[in-house]
Amino acid sequence: MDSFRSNCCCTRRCLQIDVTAPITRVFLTLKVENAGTSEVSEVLVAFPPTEAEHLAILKASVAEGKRKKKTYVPLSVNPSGSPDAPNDAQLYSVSLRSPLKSGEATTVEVLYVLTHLLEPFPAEISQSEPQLVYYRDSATLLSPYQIVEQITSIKTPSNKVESFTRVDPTSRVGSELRYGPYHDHGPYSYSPVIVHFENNNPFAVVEELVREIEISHWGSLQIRDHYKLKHAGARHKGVFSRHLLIKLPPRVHSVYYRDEIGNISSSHLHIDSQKSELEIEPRYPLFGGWKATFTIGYGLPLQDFLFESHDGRRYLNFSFGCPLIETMVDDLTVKVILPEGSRNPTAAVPFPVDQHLEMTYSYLDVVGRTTVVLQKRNVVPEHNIPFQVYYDFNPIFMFAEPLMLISAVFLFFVACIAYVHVDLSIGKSS
Amino acid sequence: MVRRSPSRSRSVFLFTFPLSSSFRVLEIFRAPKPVTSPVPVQWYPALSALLLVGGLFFTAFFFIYEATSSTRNRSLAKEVVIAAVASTFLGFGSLFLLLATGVYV
Repeated sequence: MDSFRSNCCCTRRCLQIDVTAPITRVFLTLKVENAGTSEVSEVLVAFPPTEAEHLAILKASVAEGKRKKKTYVPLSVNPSGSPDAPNDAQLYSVSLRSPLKSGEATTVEVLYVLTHLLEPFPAEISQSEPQLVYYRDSATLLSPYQIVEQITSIKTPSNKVESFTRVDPTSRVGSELRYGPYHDHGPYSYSPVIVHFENNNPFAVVEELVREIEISHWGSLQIRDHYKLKHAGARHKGVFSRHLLIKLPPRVHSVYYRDEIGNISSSHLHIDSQKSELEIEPRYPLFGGWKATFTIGYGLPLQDFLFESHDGRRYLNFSFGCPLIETMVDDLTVKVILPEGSRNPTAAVPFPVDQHLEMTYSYLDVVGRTTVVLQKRNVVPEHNIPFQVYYDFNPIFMFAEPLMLISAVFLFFVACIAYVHVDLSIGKSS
Repeated sequence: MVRRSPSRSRSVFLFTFPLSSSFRVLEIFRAPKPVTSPVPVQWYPALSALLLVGGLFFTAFFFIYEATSSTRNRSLAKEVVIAAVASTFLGFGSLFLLLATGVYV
């Protein structure tokens, strides 16, 4: 597939980078034209190795329809191994819906989210100083294609930009920094820039989140979320005592918020018909570099999330990702605890995750409950999409629990009968 | 450009289900059947009270039978039957008691 690289060229590229939070969102608009003779069925997007490490999610879509009826059709993106990419650049291939013929052009919209890309500089500040961060990127897009025209605009959270690298033509309007337009840059051209700006937004990062979803066929879904929260801003900077907002599904009950010490009462729950919102405050205010560990648990009705598919298998439809809004998670583990007697569990997740099976022991268990464990690193709010876990379950297994209780009580009665019938007298009764 | 996923899990399922699964066209437009408990959840407290009262009644019957009969009139079959009925009622009653108090076993 080497021939297409010289055949395709990007006629216009607009890049908008949003660096208002610890999550960096990049919107890329690529207008690709097939300048060669053969058909092209995929578009390659390249990342330098430092950015590829921090890549959380990559989504691509193509607009269809005229102005008012524009719909975005998602395209599948897969990592592509091209051995001759210079300096270990990572390539991802976006599959087009229909192959691009010679001379044709199409516009592809790409969204990708990067985490931990903003570096606080200086790393330690006093409480009254503003927090400044470094953002490193390239003024020209790293791409395997020749780019005819490109513009990069970086949106900072405020007007206060300490310094930025000048790669002419560069302009700055308010909180938007514009690099370009640049013309006719060859493939894999890279012009590093550094932007040093003020970002006083509190950085809340969940270092580790373990979610346990326990399915009980008697009518409830029990969820326990174990959070390890960290204030990832510059050390000594201000206090993070802002309320954290957790979005829960509607019809939630028995919500609790506790940690190792006990219950934490600084929380409010608002329930309405569409969603529930839990507003929590950490037990103590978090300064830069401080951590907090807590657990949030709640119950949900089973019929909203557990369904039966047409081939008889049951499946759980639940949303992946962190319920804490606008927060990124470094390490997310989702454990789906299936009821006793479930067989052949499989998970269908829209993005790559690490999967394995475990055994969990809970109430009235004999053989243990099969648990599907899904792990993912670098999770951002764009990952809050539903996933499914399929399993086979014979309804007769639901009788195992009452049968266990009945036999325990019956054993007691049998002991009474035996005591009454057995003759324990020492001497012979006359 | 960023699509916000709607909060209703049931309607989202239809649009974001991976197309690589073997899903026939007709089935996509039929809503999936939700799985519920075999016994309605609102009945749990009443059902547990009823079954436990019945179980205790039969337990009382069993012990009265033991106390009032002598070694000769005692019938093992009758004892076992009363014990079985009492343990069934008590077993189901305690299961629904556990479910009614929130321990979803």
